[in-house]
Amino acid sequence: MDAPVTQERIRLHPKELLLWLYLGATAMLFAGFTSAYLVQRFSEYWKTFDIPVVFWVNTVILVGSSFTLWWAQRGYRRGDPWQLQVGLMATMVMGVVFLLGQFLGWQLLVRQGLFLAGNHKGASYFYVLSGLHGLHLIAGLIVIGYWTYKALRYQVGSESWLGLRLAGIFWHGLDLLWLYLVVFLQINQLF
Amino acid sequence: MATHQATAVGTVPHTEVHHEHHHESFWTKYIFSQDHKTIAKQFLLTGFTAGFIGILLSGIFRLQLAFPDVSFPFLETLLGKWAPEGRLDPNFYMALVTMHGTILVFWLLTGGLSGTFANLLIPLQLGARDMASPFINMLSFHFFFWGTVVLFASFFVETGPAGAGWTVYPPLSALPQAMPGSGLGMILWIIALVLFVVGVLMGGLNYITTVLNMRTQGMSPFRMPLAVWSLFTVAVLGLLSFPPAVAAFILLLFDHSLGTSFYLSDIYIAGQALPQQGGNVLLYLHLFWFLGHPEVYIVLLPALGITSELISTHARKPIFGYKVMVYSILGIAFVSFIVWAHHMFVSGMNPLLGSIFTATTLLVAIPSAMKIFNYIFTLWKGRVQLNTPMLFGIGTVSFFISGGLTGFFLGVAPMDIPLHNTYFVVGHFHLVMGVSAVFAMFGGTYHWFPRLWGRMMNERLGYIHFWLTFVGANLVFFPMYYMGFGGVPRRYYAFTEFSFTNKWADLNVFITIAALITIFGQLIFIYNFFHSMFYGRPAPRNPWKATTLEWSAPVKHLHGNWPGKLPVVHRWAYDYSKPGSPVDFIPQYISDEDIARGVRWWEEDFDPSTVIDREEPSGGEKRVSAPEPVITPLPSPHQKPEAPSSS
Repeated sequence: MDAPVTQERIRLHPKELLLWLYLGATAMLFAGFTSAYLVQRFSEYWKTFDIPVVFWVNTVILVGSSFTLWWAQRGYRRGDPWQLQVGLMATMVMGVVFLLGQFLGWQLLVRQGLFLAGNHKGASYFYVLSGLHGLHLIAGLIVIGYWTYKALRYQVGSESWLGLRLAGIFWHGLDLLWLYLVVFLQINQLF
Repeated sequence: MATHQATAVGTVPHTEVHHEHHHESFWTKYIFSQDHKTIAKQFLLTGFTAGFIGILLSGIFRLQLAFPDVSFPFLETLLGKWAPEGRLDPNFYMALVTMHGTILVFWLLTGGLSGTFANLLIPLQLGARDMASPFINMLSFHFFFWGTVVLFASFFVETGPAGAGWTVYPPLSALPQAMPGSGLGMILWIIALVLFVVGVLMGGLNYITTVLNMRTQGMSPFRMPLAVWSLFTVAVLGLLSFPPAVAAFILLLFDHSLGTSFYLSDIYIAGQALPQQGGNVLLYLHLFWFLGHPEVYIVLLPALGITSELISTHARKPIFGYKVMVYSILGIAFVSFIVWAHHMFVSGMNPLLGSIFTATTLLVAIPSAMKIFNYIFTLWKGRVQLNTPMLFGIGTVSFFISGGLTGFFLGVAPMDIPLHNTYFVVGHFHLVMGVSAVFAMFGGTYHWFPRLWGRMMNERLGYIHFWLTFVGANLVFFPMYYMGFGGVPRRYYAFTEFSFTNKWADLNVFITIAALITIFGQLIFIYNFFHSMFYGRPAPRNPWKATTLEWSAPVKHLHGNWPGKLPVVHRWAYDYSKPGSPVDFIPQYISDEDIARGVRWWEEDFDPSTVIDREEPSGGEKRVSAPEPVITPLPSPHQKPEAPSSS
């Protein structure tokens, strides 16, 4: 018991592990919401509705923004500031377009007569879930905006790899979360 | 999100030990401190302050229960319109019960207990310079603190604080028109809880990461002290169970203020039908208790972890069955997720489901009993030192037994149905998780006070505090079992209205007197705490002759904990009374070579850094500081970023 044991340490950077744990907590939050959804989905008051196509367009845009972010990070690794700047700006723009698209989608829902308040649970959940995702995405946009600003001012150096990597994980996590939500909501409108 | 900013701003790499020339203002040293030891103190003081106010509230409603017909003019002075002519307002009674529960369960025993001891012990006992992210750690306290402020602010709003019980079941909590306590107070309650959960989660993320990533060299998982094991497990529990509860609270807030009907259906108020249809109260119960039951262990496991340290250290014996203790912590944590519906046996759920949850609930008894046996066998033939920390440790175990045994009654559906929402339940949970965890918190405070403030607490006052609280708590809560069997329901404003409860009037008076004596007995602790903080006997570096690493750091707090290298661990945390050892404890950083070299670690003036700094560097230091980004000066505009080597 006495010889010093050298251990294999976990190879993640502590801050990356922190971020993964945070994403785990976020997943549990939305797991809570969607399981509540499933509990109520089978009540007699449940009504289905058509999810406007714009939400799917938004989904494509958000998935696209993950690709531009990946492309930007690739530019960073290759040492190409231009690719980093353009990629980050594209991600930023697509994130903003996604949020505007969500607003448009909510407008279309309102035009269908579907509101947050009232007894239409499907609609209420839709607003709650997409709204909370939107709030998280605003946090993500602040992070991407920070790195875009730094990249445009050529302040991204070799020490930035961790921050950029974490920003990427966070953004992809939000992307994945939206994919889960939109597929979940769509499936539940089918039957 | 904060992660990125913390990263981007960049902290001083902790490997470089240059603590002396830190210039700290009052604000960065005491308020926005990123030092885990200061944050531990902040949690302790905030938790204890909130907790003391919480038990004072119970004193007020106990007064009402014992003397429902007596007028106490001082109550009107104290509470104003909530006690007209010295008689407590029934709505305010509900608010008191609610706030008492919320403060004690969440603020004292979750935030206060875990926040204090996880922050103090995890880095110090694992040999780390600080938490994984000191910045997030600071935020964790500030969310907790502002949650506290919002919670207490609800005492000063027109309609008073939340009044639907600490579990805030809808529809009572979701309809502002139902009672005053469902108005603005309820909104503040939800906001406070969400801030609290964010704070707890930020702390938890840090605790988990620090335990997984920042242990010093040689600190393999099975050399970690049990306190760290339990605090780590609790952080995982919190991470999995608090977010669904936040989901429940958010839906509740929408129902309360924004006109949704997630939980509301078929409600009439004063003959008026409400428009909300199709909601489901059971949904709230499930979401709430999915947190609510693990929450019991979020409170209890750190208490038991602390108790393990207290009992082993002060019995001068290795903890009996160390690995069994670890596995029982993990076992309790796992089982805690599949028992939540035992809080809902009378909710009309499927009886088959009830029997399944009965079976899983009884499973909890196995790891719990293993822990109890191990505590008793640790004490068996130990050289038991009955000092204050040890007394409180034994007290924790005793309450865990006397409260835990009654858990069998409540865990079995057919027994629970008659006992549901009676004083039997009140007695049960107060003893098993309330008083037992409070005792561990007291014990931990007496034990680690020299580590926190560099001074010893007064032993004699500690004895008086212990015996008064120990006897008092038993006198308060044991009679409640008796009343519960008699069918006395909880949360009633006055029992004199009904003949079947009226016969317990004398017992209620007895409980109230015992409670008031116990509550005011805590003033002894408060006096001892603050007096010792300034005038206590200066503590030696290792006052209890303990083996764990926190006692190898200098008494005066350093940012970065150890002045030189980090200690390297050579043995498990419980080498007490080891055969062949010259004294009855061998600290974790002492190697067999050190013993052979004749190091005399038991002497008062022994300086552990003579051993720690002598250690050959073999990567221990590197381990702690995984690459920490350092911001370099602005590069010239067309400088291309280098390819990072690690990706």
